[in-house]
Formats: sequence, C-alpha cells, structure tokens
Amino acid sequence: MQNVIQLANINKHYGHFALDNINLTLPAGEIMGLVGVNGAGKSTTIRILMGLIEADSGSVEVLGHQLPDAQVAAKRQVGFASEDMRLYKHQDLKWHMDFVRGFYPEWDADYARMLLQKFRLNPTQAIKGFSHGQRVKASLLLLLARRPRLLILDEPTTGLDPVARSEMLEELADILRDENRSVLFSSHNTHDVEQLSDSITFLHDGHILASQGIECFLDKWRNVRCTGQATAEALAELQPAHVRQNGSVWHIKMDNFQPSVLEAIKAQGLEVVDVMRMSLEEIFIATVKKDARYEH
Amino acid sequence: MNINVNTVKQLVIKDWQLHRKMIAGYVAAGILGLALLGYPHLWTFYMGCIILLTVMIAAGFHAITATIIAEKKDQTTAFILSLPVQPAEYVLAKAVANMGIFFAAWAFIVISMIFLVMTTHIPNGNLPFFLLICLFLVMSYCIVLSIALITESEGWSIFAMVLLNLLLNPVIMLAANNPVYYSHFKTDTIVWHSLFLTSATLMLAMALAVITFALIRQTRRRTFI
Amino acid sequence: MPDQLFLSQTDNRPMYLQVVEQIKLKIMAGDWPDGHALPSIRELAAATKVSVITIKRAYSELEQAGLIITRPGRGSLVAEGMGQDALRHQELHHHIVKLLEAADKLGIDNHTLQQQLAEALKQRQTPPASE
Repeated sequence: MQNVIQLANINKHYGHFALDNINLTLPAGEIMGLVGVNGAGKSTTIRILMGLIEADSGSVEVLGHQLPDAQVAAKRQVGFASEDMRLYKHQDLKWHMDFVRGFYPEWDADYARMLLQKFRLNPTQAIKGFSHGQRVKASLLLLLARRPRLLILDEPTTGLDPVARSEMLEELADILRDENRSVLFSSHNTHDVEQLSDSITFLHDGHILASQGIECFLDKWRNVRCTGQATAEALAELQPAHVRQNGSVWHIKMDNFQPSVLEAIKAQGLEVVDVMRMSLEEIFIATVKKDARYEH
Repeated sequence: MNINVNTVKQLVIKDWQLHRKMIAGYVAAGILGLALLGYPHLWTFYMGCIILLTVMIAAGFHAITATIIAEKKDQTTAFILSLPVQPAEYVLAKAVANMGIFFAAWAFIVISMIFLVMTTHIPNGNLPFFLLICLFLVMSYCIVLSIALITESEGWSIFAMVLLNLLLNPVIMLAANNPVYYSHFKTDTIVWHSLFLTSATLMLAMALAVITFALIRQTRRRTFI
Repeated sequence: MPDQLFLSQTDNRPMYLQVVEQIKLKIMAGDWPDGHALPSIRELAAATKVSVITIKRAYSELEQAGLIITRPGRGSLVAEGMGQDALRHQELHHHIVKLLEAADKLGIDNHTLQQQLAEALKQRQTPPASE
C-alpha cells in the first residue's frame, strides 16, 4: 500500500527549539494520532507537511508529491485545519463555502448541506457570532466537503466542549469507511486520539519518542505491582521503563512486557501482586519520563 | 514557477469582496472632495484639496492594513494557505488586490480633478503642481506596500506610512515655493517644466522599482512562513 | 440501521476485547445467526467509532476462537454450528472451568463439589422450564 505521508530525516532549527531527525510514515487508509505536550513540535511538523515551512534538511512527501515545491498539487487533496486558523469574521459561512468551492471542483454540495444540519450551523450568520465550537465545526465542514484524500488536523479538539468534541470525532469516524482516505491529527491529549487511531506517534522536545500501532503500545506496556525486598540495581537487569518503591511495595513499569518477565521478577525475590494494563495516557507519560531520564 | 492566473484572480476577488464597503466609502469621499473643489470659494477649494489628499493617502494605507496586515493579525492567512495556493500566487494576489483598490480611488480622483481643472474657474496652470503631489502619493504608497509585502509587519508598515506622510508637507511647501510651479498658479497656461518631468519620472521609477523588487523577492519564496 | 457496537471508555479491558464481547453478545442474543455476514471491518469501525485496527484485531481473535470464518475478499461470517446455542454452551463451559479452578484453590474435592452443586440446584426457588 502507498504511503500518504513520508517524512524522512527532517531537521529544522530555531533559536530555542529544533526538530531532530523526524521520520514519519502514514500508510493510506490509516489514522494516526500525533501526541505531544505543548511545544513538543507538533505544529512545526504539520506545517512542514503542508509545505508552509521548509525543513533545513530531509525530504517531505505527501500523497506522492515532494514538498514544498509541489504544494499546490498536494493541497488539492489535503484538508488542513489548525488551531490557529481563523475564518473571515465579517463574512458568513455561506460566503466561505462559495469561496472554498472555487478551488475544489470535487466539492460535494450535498454533503456540505448535510453537515450544516448535523453541526447545526447557520450559513448566513457572520463568523464573528459563532462560538469556538461552531468555528471549529465550520472549518471542518469546509474541508470535509472537498472530500480530501488526506486530512491533517492540528489540535482539532482543543478548547471544544464534550459535545462538540464527540460530534467532531463522529465525523472523523465516518472517514474510516473509505479505505483510501487517511487522517493525521495531533493533540496534547491522548484521549482525543486513541479511540480512532490505528497508530500513535509520541513527539517530545522536537523528536519522536515512539511511533507504532496503538495495539503495540497497549500490548507491550504493563504496570507490575510487587511486594518484597529487592534493589533497584538488580531490577535494572529487566530493563524496566520506570521503577518506584515505597517500603516493600514496588511498581515496575515495563515497556517490553512478556510473561517471562514475571519469572524474572520472582527470581529477584519479589512477589507479583498484580499485572495491570496501562492506558495510553499512562504510557505516554511513562515514555516521556523515560526519555528525560536517559537524557540527563 | 507556474502562476495559476485563476487562483490569483480568485484571491483578488476575495479581497475586493471583503473590502467593497471600504472602496465605496473612499469613492464617496472622493466625490465629496471633488464637489468642494469645484465650488467657487477659496475655502471650499482648500477644503476639497485636503479631502482629496486625505482620501488618496487613506485609501492606500487602509488597503494595505486591511488586506495584508489584518490577514496576518486575524490569523486568516492559515486558512488561505490551506487551499491549493503557492506563496507566489498569494503575494501576487495581495499586490494586485491592493493596487487595484488604491489605483481605483487614485485614478478616479486624478481624472476627475484634471477634468475639473480644465473645465472650471480653477486656473489650468495649477495642473503640474497637483499632478506632482498625486505622483508623490503613488510613490509613497508603493514604498509602503513593498515594505508591507516584505515584512508583513504592522510596526514597519506604520513606521513607513508615518515617515512618508511627514515628507508630504515639505514636498508641498518646496513645490509651492518654487517659481516653476507658483508662477503659473494664477494663469491658464500649463507649463510642463523639465523639473516637473524629471521629478515625475524619478518618482514613478522609484515606485516601479520598489514594487518590482518586493514582488521578485517575495514570489521567489518556496514557503509561506 | 447499520450494525453498531456499544463500547465503554471506562471499561478497563482493551477495546478489542470489548468488541469481541459485544460480538459474542450479538451472536448469543440471536441477532447474528449461523452464517450471518458480519459487517466489513471499516463499516463496523466507522459505526462504532473505534479504529480499524481494533476491529481487525477483534475479528482475528474471534476467528481464532472459531466463532467466525473469514473468506478472503468476501468478508466474515458467523461460523456454522457456532450460533446461539453453541456459544451458550461454550459460555457455560467457561464458567464451569472457573468453578473448578476455584474449588481447587479452596481445596474442595470433587465429591463435596458435586454435593454442593446438587444442594444449590435444589435450593433454587424457581427452576426454569426445561426446553
């Protein structure tokens, strides 16, 4: 299957921040969640993907087009919305729809009408009277109605109320029906992306900490609770991601869990009380902490 | 570099649609100024002059603020950039939309003024002086537009506007106190003195040069940010 | 009304296991009889609002358990003889295994277990009508 996004060895240096050797691949038909704290480099990565910024080095390919040179050809099939994007506040949604339509021959007017109803948006009200949630939904309408092959959404759920957020995810889920359409969406919050994403990329401090299928994350990580006497040095042999001890109670977070690990823990003189699966959020935090530990 | 003319056209029309009220306002103010100019009183004549000057200055600077600076400030740029548009087309469209607004107001006023001067009691000898001021405004506008296109910065653009506006008064005083111009203020003979021709050519050349420089520099960009 | 599963965010089990449970529930309830064609992976993912990979994994678990059959290019079916009844027996068997394990842990021998089971059946106030 063809890759819709292919970033290879991307570097971009700013004064106080740098993207460091970013490699990212999104196969066609998949949804990828890009997770990172604010300032991790999500927006910079996405801007490079849209040809808005040129990387210092590396290659960018979107839907088979080299960016930034072939950005027009790529953007013809990409629906992009970012958190810092605003519509013209004195114009209404109808004006925006007509304007965008002029650039996309494949604009689907029926779908646009359906979305207007579903999102309960008034097409003749000036944008400045819209709430934040309505603005986000209006932007989403403007890009979904072009039926793009690839959606790139930078922090689409930030600042949305729970209802608007759920409506937004519902429309994204609809894209799953078509195996030729793909989505990359970023969030500082794992909850927003984990439900729909096939794969997750953790971005931190300008570099990728991990990028793999969501099931891989969930299968590999376990929080093992044990009791007994042991030393952190001895446990280090197991290559745990994170170890915490209080008295004789131990919490060992493993990022390479296999059943045989439990035997090894017992061999260190610990009794395994329980083995807990971890949520993606816990995994994200543990990954970031692990990275910080090795850095300093 | 392939410029898609249709894309540029759509972007230009967009800017004109967004600002049609502003354009209509300046045209209305221009008509008011011209009406006063044609009225046979000295004070209405001066009043008309001031209004026309103000309209020409304001139309240009307002267009720059509204189409270039405001797009940046209101974060609508990202919306346009998400469309299949390349940097060169965007810059070109901005320049065309802007100059369209300014020159529409400017040309309307200049043509009406020439007509007015030629057909009314206003001595025709004033024409070179009037045209000199109008051409100075074209140059100022082009300089500010180039700075706005290149820097996209509100600060720099305002700085340039203020500076060029401060220059306007000395230019008027200098010209008004020069016999090449003032000796014909009360006569009906139009004298195209070489001083006028040279300064007009220089100002137009300057305007053309800065705009060309800004366009070449900005359309070469491969990315927006 | 397209087929749709109801998943819970607060359920601690991984998503794909919830999908497996829900599909078993549909089969047991008779919604999906023997030979019933399951919705396509993408269709079910979109309707349920979970990732395609989650449904894929659930289908492969169900296939390994012999509950469904996937024919390349033609989607998945509920396996013959794996409908309602078979699944009910399987489910009961699952509970019996657990019961036996519990008895072992508590050190209860087979005889006592049988006695207690007989006692429990007797004590049940309203036995369901036999089929």
